[in-house]
Amino acid sequence: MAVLSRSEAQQRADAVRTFQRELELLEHEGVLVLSDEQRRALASYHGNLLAEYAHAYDIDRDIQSKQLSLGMRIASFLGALAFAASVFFLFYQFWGRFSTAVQVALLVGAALGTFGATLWVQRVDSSGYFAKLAAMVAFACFVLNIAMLGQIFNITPSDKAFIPWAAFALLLAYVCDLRLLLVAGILCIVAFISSRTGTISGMYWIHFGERPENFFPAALLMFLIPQLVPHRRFPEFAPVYRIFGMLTLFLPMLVLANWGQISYLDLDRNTVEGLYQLLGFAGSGVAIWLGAKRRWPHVVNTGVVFFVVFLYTKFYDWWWEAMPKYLFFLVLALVAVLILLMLRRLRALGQNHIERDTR
Amino acid sequence: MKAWTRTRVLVAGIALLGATNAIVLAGAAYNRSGDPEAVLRMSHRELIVPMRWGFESENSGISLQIQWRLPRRSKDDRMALYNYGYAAVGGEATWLDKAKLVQLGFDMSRAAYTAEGERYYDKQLPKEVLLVLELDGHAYRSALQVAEERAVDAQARFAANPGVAELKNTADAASKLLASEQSVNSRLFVVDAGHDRSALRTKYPDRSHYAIVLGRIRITTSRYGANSVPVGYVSDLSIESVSVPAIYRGLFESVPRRRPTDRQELEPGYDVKLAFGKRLEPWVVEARLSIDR
Repeated sequence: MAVLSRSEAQQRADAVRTFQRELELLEHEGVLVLSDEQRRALASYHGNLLAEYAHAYDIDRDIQSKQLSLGMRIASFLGALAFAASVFFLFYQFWGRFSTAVQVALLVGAALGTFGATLWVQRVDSSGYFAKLAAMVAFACFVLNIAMLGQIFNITPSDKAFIPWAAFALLLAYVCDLRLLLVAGILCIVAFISSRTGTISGMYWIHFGERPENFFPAALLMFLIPQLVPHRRFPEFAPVYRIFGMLTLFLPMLVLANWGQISYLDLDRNTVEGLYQLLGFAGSGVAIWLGAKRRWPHVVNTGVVFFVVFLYTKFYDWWWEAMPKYLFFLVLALVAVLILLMLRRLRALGQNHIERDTR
Repeated sequence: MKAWTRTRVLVAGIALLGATNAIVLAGAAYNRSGDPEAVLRMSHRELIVPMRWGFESENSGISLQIQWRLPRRSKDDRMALYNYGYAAVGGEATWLDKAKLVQLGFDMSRAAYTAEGERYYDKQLPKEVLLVLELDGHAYRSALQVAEERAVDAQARFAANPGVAELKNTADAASKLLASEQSVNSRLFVVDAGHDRSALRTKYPDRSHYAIVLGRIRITTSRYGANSVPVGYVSDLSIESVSVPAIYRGLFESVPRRRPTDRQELEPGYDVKLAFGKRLEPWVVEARLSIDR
């Protein structure tokens, strides 16, 4: 199996460790006993493989390394945010003193320079943490670049700015295997598609958020991207697309289920709210079913979260005032138990499918 | 999905950054190329240096905020008198009648006085249109005349009843409003809107007093008695503030940052030549200090 990315190398290393533990157990119980030669060959193969991955991708070889990695990820994220803020305020503090030509040169230079620095850091840093930090600063510099040019030349704000921002965020995300920039890219694409959807009705693009239905086409596209573009090298990216697709669908639905007056639908407010409550339940139900069927735990979890949120918001509307509080919370608890039973049933169905497939 | 080589990534990134900057800069250059669409000489009455707060205090750049107003709806429209404050605020416009709204692309066919009609008009979101800015023109003279008439009227009523404190207060307030209208309030009014730029320019040919800019209009429902009727509302300009080039930074740094109404007598003012280009985007051509006017 040819390894193409760090996350794939990490997955393989995890699989090797799991296999080694299972092999130990099987040997202990006498189910499978390898000859000394086989054991040596296997140990040598795995040892070389892990050493190669550790050298090339700086993978976590054990649980302790994994925990430290999480800490490093958090530190790198916070560092990147602070760096980006520092770049912004540095420019903010001095830009007014420079001539227009110098301002433009600084902005373009910062974007290009940080992009070049990101690629250089990525080459020398096998862990990827510093490259990720540099990538986030590069993205912040490019956003600042375009936003400030707009301010310097008094350019009419345009949703078209989301296109290069999205393209740059995605470029960096795929180059540095960085989910945070993938999220930034997804948000830019969602904003662009939603604003374009809004302008179909004749509204000015900046108001696209005032009609939550504008987000639905973007939601569908985001959910389908992993199906349309295979992400074998980036196994962690597909769930991000699907989760953000679902957030882009269910959050506007949740808003419309409570504030029907901001819908495009020329219907009475209560009718709109009722309709979106129904759609919210049905949609999250379908997501749970689809997630269970396709073995996408992230889709099941997001679906469950929204199902519960839709349900509890309705309960609040109906019964918070009318019921004694002990009874209200008892109902919530009983519903939680019901959901647990339902999910257990779904899990059992899933296991039956797996057993059938393996037969 | 195949892995890109480092060179390919580098080329793609530089191409993306370069192309985006080139497009933005070419657009700005095109806007400023040739003869400007309009050149308006404004003062501290129409362009204010906004006050700073929070993070803004660390901003070394200066942007001038455009102070625009709307012609008053009626002689008794007191809101219009005060509508020049800290920044431009939207409002209903007399010229933005039903026919004009239809012309601007709003569907005005629904009955106004029904619940369905009210819901329909409330749901309408702003549209981008071309707005006509008039500097020191008929709308300003009309506002000045109304302020003068109010002051004269209030003074006459107080003179006829010198003992009535309320009439004295009204007369003082009217005199103050007149003074503001004469020397403080913005003379820049939004007087028309449309989609056809050349038609608007034909209607307002004076490029030193009329600028065409992009802005937003929406419908709001106003309650008159028991009924609510849809009325046109100018929300804002697409570009509300204009960046000051570094060469004029010192000039605006020397001006106290305060509301137009709080300006002191004989405080230095400024004149700014503001050009509007091919894309209707403004820029500062020239700025100089002026004696208070």
